[in-house]
Amino acid sequence: MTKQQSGFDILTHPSRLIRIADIDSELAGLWKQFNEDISEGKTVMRACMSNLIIYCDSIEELQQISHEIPEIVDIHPARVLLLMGNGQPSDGKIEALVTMYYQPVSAGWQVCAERIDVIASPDSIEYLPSVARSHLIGDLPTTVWWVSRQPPPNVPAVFLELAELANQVIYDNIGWENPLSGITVMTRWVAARQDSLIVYNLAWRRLTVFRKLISQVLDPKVAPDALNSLKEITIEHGPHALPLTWLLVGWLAYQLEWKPVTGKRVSSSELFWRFRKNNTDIKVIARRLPEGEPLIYELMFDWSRSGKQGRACFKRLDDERIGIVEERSTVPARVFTAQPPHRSSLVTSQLARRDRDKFFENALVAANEMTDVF
Amino acid sequence: MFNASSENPLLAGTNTANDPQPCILVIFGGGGDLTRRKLLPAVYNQALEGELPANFAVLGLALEEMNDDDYREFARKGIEKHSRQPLDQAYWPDFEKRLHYLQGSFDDPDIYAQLKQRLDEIDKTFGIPGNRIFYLAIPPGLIETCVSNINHAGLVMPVDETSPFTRIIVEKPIGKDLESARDVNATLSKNFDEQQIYRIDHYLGKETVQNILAMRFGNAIFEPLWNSRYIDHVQITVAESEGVGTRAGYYDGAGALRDMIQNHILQLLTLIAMEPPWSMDADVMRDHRQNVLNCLSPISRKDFNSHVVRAQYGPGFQHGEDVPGYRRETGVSQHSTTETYVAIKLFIDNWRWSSVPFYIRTGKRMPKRASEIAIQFKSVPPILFNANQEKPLEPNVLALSIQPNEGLSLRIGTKLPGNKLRIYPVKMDFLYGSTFGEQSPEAYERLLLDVMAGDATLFMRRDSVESSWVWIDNILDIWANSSSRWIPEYNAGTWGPLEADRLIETDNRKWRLL
Repeated sequence: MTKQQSGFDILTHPSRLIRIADIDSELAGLWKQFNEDISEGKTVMRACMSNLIIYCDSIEELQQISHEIPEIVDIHPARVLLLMGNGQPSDGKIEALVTMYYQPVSAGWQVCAERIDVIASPDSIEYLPSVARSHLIGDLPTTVWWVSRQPPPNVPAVFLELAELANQVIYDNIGWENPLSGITVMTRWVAARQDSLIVYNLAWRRLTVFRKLISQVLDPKVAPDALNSLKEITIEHGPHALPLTWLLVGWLAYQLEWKPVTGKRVSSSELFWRFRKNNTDIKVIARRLPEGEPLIYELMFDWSRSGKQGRACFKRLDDERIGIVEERSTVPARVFTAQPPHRSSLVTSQLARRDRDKFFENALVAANEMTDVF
Repeated sequence: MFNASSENPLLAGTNTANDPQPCILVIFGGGGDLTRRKLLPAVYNQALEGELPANFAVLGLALEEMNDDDYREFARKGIEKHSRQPLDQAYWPDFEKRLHYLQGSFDDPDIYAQLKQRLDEIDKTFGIPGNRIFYLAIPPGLIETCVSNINHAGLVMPVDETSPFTRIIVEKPIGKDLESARDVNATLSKNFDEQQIYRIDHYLGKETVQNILAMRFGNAIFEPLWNSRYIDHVQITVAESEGVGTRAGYYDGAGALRDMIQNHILQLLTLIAMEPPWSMDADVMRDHRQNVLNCLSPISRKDFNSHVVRAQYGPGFQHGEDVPGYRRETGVSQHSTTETYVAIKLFIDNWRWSSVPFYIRTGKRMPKRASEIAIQFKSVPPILFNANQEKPLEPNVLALSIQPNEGLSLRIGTKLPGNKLRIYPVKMDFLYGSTFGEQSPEAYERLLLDVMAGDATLFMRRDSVESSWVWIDNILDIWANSSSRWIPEYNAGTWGPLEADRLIETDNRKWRLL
């Protein structure tokens, strides 16, 4: 029995490599061993809310996910199927590892996850969906969490089949290889899915705090004219945060009914868009900072009406706070807690969602239009 | 009523009806125990989790001599001790800027003029559009003074689409009998519209209490069984391990019936017994709860002794220590006949619950702090596995635990492994804390956010308060007119008097062991 390093009170077994055909018997063996050796005769409860299929294709991603799984299943107990493409199975083309996560509760033990890792060599990834299909638990919703840096539609042999098994697809385009084309291809795929499948970008959830603050601080009741008379928005973001910026601007454009007119790359670190609404131009400048985390660091809104200027500058003050900068704003200065959420908590929150997010999808539509004028 | 969404294009298409709106929370009794232990920690936790509106501030109003800095220190100490989440040193300087204090007497009209001026200043500082929530964390005797002064100072806005909102939160007890409750309600109604009044009962903000609705109406398997055909009886227990503590002044004049049953337990009862509402709209929900109260069968004098038991705790042992009896507690009269324990068998006279007894009990100095609602289903017929009536099968029980651990459990019969066919009761537990692994917000956190959002679903309406008192007054009258001054005693640290056991055992049932 080993304790996870995450600080969570969740324990797990060391796992051993097995054949795919032995996954079920290995799981049964783990349960038997748990009941006989570990539980010490106490009640063993199993909680399970979802099937969670995770796809990654590098050892670094797999290691990071391994740290995140206890954090996720602590809040959202699940059967986890971790599929790794581009792996190096020790024996043959594909192999598996099985383990369980459990924690002490007042009356005994609670098993909060069964984890099945399936590792496939690069020429065997097309087997992965079939392994997933045969190890899902019935009667529970299924989510595919796409961790790979390749945009999902670029790995059709895996992604499209997994999407067919799922009620929800979670992806994260921060850190994608070639984000511009990735955004385009994924946006089109999402737009084409008009069924009940929930598709969700973690980047959108990362914007929650900014969306809330912008909505409330620039609300017409407290900052009259701000939203209707915007002239310029300047955004400063860290490396790899362009998808975040793109979505934020897409959201503003859709909600405020702006139409993109032009877009251009001003330099290697600066993009520019011009939008139009009611014969008025709105400029948006997005600057990438040379270093930092994949976050939005500063957002400046400038507006004017009848010669009266207004301004609101939101700035990330540190890892935990966003503030309205007094000397650069005409709205009251305040500071808000805004710790960048861990990816695991974003996934956990999204796992509990059971409906499509129209705001996200609308923002994607506008983001797609922004791509078209580029 | 002001709603940030109405003209905000960034919120167009969102259902913001349940979003907290920008406002100032004005706490009357801002230097008191409730504020320090519950209200300020609740506000802090919600701020820390980013749930509060961006434009939000607090102003405490009380007699204690303090300035803003002192008040922030007062708040800090309360939060350090009582908050669900530890105090975040980095965030605290920003949070405390939102806390303000005004010292004054509630009966001084000048203080209300000062209050108005302070609120206007805070509006400007924090970009708040004039919305106010007045929280009356004060003794009941001060309600009239505060409410009428708030109104006379012009601090109550009309209820319409264009005005900022004004809301008032009133703590229990609302009166000490029907007449006084009507007086309090009349005072509130004279100065506020009913839509602006939020009568708070923190029990309704607890996760499990809300889960009663989710469980009953979000699952198909329970509701068909939720009636007299399948349910044998219901037990509701609210047990406190503490004695009267520092509340003797209030409690000795109130007793367990007024303190617990009139509000907490009857509200729980309404959620368990209500018919399926057709909407989550606050008034629809409250109408349905009210219908339960309308159907409560009054307890007649003839049935009284077999349906109602009151008792008082005597000396005993708790947590390995001697504890004094109630009449030896500080501030309690040596001749007090105030009940610290009540058990009642009641019926709800409607089609669904006809002949199903509801056993309710509450007491102080019980062996542990535990609140639970248990639905005991009828036994299976006495054939097959239940043929041996000397050793009948345990009936199914669905138990909703409210505190200290929130969750639910279901007792089912299952076959024991082995060659013989033996049925054994197994309890399946669902605990919020361990299943979801995250802390539920405190009841006050949820309820304060509801008031900011203008959602009165979990608050008591005037008619509900008065109907409860009608039913309670009947019991109080019989006690008051009783020729006997004797009150049974139970040892501290036990589950109540023998009389309470007899009340349920006469029906061949037993109190559940919690």
